[in-house]
Amino acid sequence: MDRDTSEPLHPTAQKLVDTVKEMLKVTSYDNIKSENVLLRSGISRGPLYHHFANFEELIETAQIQIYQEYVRGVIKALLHAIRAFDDPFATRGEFEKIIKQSQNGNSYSLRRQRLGLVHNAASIESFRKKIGVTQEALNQEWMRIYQMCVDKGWGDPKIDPRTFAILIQSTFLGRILDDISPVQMDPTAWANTLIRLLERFCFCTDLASRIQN
Amino acid sequence: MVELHTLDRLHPTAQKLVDTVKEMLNDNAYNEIKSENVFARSGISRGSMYHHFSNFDELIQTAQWQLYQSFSIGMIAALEQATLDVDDIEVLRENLTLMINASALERSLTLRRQCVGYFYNVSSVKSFRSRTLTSQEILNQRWIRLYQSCLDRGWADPLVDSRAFALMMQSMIVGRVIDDVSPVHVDLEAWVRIGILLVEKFCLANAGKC
Repeated sequence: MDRDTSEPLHPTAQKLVDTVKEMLKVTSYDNIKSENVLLRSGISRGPLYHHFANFEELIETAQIQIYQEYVRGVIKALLHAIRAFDDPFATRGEFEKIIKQSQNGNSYSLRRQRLGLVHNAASIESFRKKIGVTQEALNQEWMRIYQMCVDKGWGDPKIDPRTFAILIQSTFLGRILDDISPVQMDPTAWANTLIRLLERFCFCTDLASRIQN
Repeated sequence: MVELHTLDRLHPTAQKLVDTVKEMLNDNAYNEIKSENVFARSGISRGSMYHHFSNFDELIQTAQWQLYQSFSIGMIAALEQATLDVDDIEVLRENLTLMINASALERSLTLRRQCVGYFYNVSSVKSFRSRTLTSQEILNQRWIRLYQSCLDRGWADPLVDSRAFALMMQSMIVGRVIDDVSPVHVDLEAWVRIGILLVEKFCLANAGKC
């Protein structure tokens, strides 16, 4: 079933997805059983299979929405920080707060699920089309962030915004390599690295480097 | 010389099973591979498999691990080669550029997908992690060592943790897969530029021009 995930779902489908999203807050997707979802949502099996090819598709749709909401929350805050100030130092300060918040304990679960979705998309053509739509939407949002920094004279115009978008996302998601390591990084050190990365791209011009005292 | 407890030499039957799975991983995601197909293709029975592996998942994971081992050994060697001479910044810059170029070209779509599948499987099953991580840690240490050398020479950004730098460089492979699943792609040259940019902006941040 090819679903354009950027379009709003039918209310019944969304109700099912909302139920799964609620359940994902407290349990892993491997532990979610269809009977429980149906019971909790008050929706019967028939409508479920009307809206979703199978139960996995419902779970995946919920995961995609959760991830989108998480990233969009970060992006929205970053955009606001860019618009709100003419002083790059102030924006940078805001960026720091936003990034630190985004790297909380919950983010591991999100990363893992996202990695799973990306892996499935890389392996299965039909899934790639579905994920591709939301992935491109996220790419565009990161590109917008970069473009705004360039427009304000803070970012380097010679760097392609798409390059920045992919780099930021791969660093965020790449933290999974640390998650699976027996020796883990200090989360503060990781957050600082992300902040430095953003700074190096979004605030690298002379204009941006002049620090206000 | 890299010392790895590599390829804990498997019994030939076990290795045959693993080789079969590795072949199948060329065309399929690990979670799509069915045990019946592995047995049919390898000519080895389920019973034999259980003699060598606790369960099918362990066989899959072993195959993924061997693939990743080969990949990381190659990467470790390339890094060692590129960082033989760290004293001359121009030589270092050039060697790293060559290395990044070569690895970007070598990493096929299939290999990228396999690496990400491997990370995902390991992240899902805790018991897989311990074996996995020796070679991963050696690779981390090579990147960390490079960063440390640059820090010692006053070239690198002291506000960035060397392990974080190591992670960032390695996460490029994840990034390429994100790009693979996007409808619009970044071209190969752009990937090389990204790798070089990261080196410039972090390892060589204070070494002159950015």
